[in-house]
Amino acid sequence: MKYSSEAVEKAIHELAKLPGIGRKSAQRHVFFLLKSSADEVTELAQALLDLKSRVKYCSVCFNITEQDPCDICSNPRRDTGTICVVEEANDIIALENTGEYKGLYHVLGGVLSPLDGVGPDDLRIRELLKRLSENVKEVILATNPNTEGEATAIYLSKLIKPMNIKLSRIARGIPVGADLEYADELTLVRALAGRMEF
Amino acid sequence: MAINKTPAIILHSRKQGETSKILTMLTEQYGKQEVIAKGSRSVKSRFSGLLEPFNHIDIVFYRNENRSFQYLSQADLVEQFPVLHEQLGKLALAAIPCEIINRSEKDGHKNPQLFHLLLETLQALEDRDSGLKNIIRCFHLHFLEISGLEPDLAGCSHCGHNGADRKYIFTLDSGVYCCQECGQFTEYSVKMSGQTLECLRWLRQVDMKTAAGIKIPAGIGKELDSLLITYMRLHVEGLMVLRSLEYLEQLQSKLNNK
Repeated sequence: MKYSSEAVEKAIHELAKLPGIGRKSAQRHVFFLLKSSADEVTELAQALLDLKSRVKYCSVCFNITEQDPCDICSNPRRDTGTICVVEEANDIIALENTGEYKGLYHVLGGVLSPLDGVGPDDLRIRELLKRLSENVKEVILATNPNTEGEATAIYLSKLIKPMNIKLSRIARGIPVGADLEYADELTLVRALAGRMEF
Repeated sequence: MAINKTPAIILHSRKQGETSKILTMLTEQYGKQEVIAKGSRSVKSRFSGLLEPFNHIDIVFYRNENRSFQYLSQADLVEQFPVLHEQLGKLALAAIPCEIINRSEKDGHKNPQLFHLLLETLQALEDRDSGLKNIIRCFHLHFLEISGLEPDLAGCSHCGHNGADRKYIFTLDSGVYCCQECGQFTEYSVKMSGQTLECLRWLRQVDMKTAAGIKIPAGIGKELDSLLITYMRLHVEGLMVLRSLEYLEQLQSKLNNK
């Protein structure tokens, strides 16, 4: 059903473009906004405008940031000799929440995917190799432990190993709090292969 | 809504929502199916490690023909292909048959022959260290045979000659060939050497592992690949864009220039 108000129809149409939101959900959100105060709606609209006008990619690590270079790259207390390679900027947030990692990051902007035709030229690999020529001692490959993430890690290892830089891969296996009984075979195989001296 | 159990091979997977995946599978009993695996990207999922491309698994899913996605209830590993996932070249080659099937097969069209062909192709790619391109060429020919689109390789359509001593003209739209002396080039015809014809006939007759054991000269291989892909693109719907082939070419040029 189409609404008599062009503004309502346009708002529904625009919200329905967001991932995971269909026309029905968009309608619910629009009616919620109609019932909200003018200040609340203005704040939301301003936040969306700021998102596009103020947020950009860090020219060093390609993290999302408001200042270039980003807070992590410009922090003098970070270990500049270690670079953790991740798929997307979201992964940096997950790793930063641990409070354990003190090095720098590099966001590839995706992973190699033969099934989707994403090749090496589609990722920020050239930029990573350029950074590695500047006194980097260790590279941690933190792509996801799935087919595409592993393929990307293998490809990067072929490029980085000849540079005599320490190369490591994040551990794969049983998550903390899980039961062995319910782990699938492939996860158990990887957990056994990646076992550590205790 | 029916509960179905069948062997399946994962052709493609993509993220859905926060923790789910949509998997395109070729099943033995129910053809190609799009299945949603709720919560499978979560670290606590029972089958997160199993639902990766090329894995051969037994699945239980709820099937409702009115729905575009079916619900995955259970998955058990039958066979994994660890070498395919560890070698970039093999991974790129394994993606080609998966993409061809994904693009050309209609949802729900039962085709156990195609399921076993894909399984045999993946097993051969996993086990063999050389002749990998022959395995893919062999897949192309058997795929065309299963689809009822195989080219007629018996002999020249005019004189019946089929020896390696002559040069031939292969007509792409009709899938027949003739000696250069017997016919003329048209918009849909390409040159085919006698050796290429021999390789085509031979690859059609053997299984994947035998195919991998024979060396085909690079020039003949190039002619063979070009002919097969052009023929498939002309006859099989949905193959005009093959991303896995583009990926393979990009990867080869990058690794050769390293």
